[in-house]
Amino acid sequence: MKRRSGGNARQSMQGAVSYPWVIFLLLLLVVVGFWWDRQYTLRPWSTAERALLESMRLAALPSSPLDPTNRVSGDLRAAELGHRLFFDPRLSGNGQVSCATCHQPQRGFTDGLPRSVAVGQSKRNAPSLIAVAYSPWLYWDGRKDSLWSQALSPLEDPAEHAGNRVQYVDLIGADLSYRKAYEELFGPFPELLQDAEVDKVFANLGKAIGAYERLLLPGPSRFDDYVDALLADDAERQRRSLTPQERKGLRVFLGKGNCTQCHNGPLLTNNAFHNTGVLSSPGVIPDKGRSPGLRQVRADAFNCIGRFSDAQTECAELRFAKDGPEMLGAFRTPSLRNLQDTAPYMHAGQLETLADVIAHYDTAADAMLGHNEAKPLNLWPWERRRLEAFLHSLQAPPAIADRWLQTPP
Amino acid sequence: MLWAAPSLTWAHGGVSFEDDQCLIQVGFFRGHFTAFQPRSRGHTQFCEDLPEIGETVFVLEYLHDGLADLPLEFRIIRDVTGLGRFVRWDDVLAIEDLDAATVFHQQPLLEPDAYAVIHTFKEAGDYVGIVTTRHPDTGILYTAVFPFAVGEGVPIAWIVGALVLLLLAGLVMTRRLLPARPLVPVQMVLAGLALWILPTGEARGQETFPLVATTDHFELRIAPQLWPLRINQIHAWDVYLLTRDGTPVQGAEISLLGGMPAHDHGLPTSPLSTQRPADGHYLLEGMKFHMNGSWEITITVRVDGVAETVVLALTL
Repeated sequence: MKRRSGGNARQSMQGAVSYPWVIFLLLLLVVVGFWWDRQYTLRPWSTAERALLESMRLAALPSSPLDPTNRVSGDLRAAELGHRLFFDPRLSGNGQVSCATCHQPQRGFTDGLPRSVAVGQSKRNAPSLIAVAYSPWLYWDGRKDSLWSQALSPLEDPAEHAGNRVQYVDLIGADLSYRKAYEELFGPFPELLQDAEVDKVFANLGKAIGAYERLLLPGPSRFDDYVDALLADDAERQRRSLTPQERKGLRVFLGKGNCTQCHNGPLLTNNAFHNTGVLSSPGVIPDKGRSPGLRQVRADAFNCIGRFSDAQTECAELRFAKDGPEMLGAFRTPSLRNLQDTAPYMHAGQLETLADVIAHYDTAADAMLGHNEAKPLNLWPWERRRLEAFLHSLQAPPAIADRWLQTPP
Repeated sequence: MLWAAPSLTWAHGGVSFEDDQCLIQVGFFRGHFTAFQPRSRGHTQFCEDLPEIGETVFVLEYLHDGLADLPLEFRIIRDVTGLGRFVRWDDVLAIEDLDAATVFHQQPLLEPDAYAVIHTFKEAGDYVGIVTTRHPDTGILYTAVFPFAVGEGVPIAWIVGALVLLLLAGLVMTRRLLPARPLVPVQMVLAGLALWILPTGEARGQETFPLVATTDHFELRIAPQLWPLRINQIHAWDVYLLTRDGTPVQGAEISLLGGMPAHDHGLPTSPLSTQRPADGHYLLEGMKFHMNGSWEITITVRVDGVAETVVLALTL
């Protein structure tokens, strides 16, 4: 086609849309949009947000609490005995399972499986033991109310250690170095092993393990560094500790994600029980959670008000424990400080990745049992990714001396 | 949609769809009865027919407390009666060989919290669910019979495909893109203005402690032993109960309920008033808050036939 003269060509274009301009404007809008989004999501924190951040940093965590029901809770010798017991596979029916089999120190004291495998197959996911001393309840369903009483359960569970207390007490009595360590803490080893004596020694073994577990503490993460920098008004250090993506994710965490409802405090857990509508695992009925768990802890001979407890009068958590329909299908909130180790997630490892977990909370579908407390979040896909990035920034090596992480000599 | 369709109500024990609930009536004991097919349909609840064969979880939650004390027996049979939706307990009794028709049988099981069973359907077809329980004291048998079909639903892929086609058709017809997220949302501008102009209190009615609250007959002086209040720590509250003219009140029952108006849950503990000394001093033990935000605490005082309440608003 022959070109017309310049003047005519310009005239003929006046009624038409100028595509280059449209494209330029669209691009400008996009650029402005990205810039604005960045400004908005990286804007300074409000006073309320700063207070919340301050409450979440590791420095706000009080020192590892002593357990009043365990009189050797703070005793280093008890921790050393507990350390040995924790790693000793002789504390099992087949001589091959120790606590460290499912609570592996190099994996954040968990095992990376959806449901643990020891002598048999457990029906629950092994929780991490880091900072476990801060929780008034143990297990996903809170069926134990102290570290020492919890340690006793797996020892006799046919799916876990599959042993019995008589066997363990005999082991302590027969092994000279164990016996010596035991007697230093708990007095003379009983000569006549009747039921009552066996139970007492058994409880004491739990108390030693509890003293060891009390030492398992989380270390500072980049998130903590960020909050410290924020409080010190050190902008450069803030920039170094969290990437913009992670800071945007923190914003979602505090805001639209509604996470701090349950994941609050320096451990990012309130250690309370919540039903968040997790789907049942293949082949099993949905887990009833805290409802049967509460019944079990109340009936437990080794609970806070039982005769093996060293402080039967200080049992407020047990005495005033929440019962009722809210506890059906409710599980204990886990800490978020160890997420790279604790996959897969939820009480039976139903959710494989953090992206799955975030999607689960975003959807907030009806619970199979009881009532889902969570509400749909309506997160944009980029908000989900930002949130996940932030969660990764909570990861840090634990603040535990190497010797406690290794098998004792 | 299959799971939204209302059905016939059964006078003598069946599953019906009333007010968004899937009700079952075992005798006069009411429960909420739903089925899930978690592997294929996730969290979707079914009250009656199931769209597919495969893993199915049946859940019975108790509306009548009595069910928690009854051993429940649950049986699923192929519908050998041919009566379909009209099958009743008498028809079940008339079946000669119930075991031959049975595909699933849970022996009587006492479940104090909720009743749940799991079964994998291998064949599509008509089935009948039978829930029975015999009262341990009276020996009376209570029954519920409900027919349902399995595997006659529209496969999910078809539903998804149909929806996608509808959506595309809608787009083509209206020739519009979905609205883009506004770059400067009007709501945010308004919110920003509001925050700037309005007082920036975190909640209305924020209480400061110790506080004095009055009702028609009483004056309560309330002081938490944990101050300032923080979350995740169990503690007690001191409550001094006086009459309006200042006389300490003896022997009152003080109870406390708490919750967060923005969320539907209560306190994480069950606080109790545990001390009744002579000077009107009561101790509310077992207080604990597990979330930041706005809490509403209702304290009820009962004495001599009088019951009065005080409602407190707190923000943690």
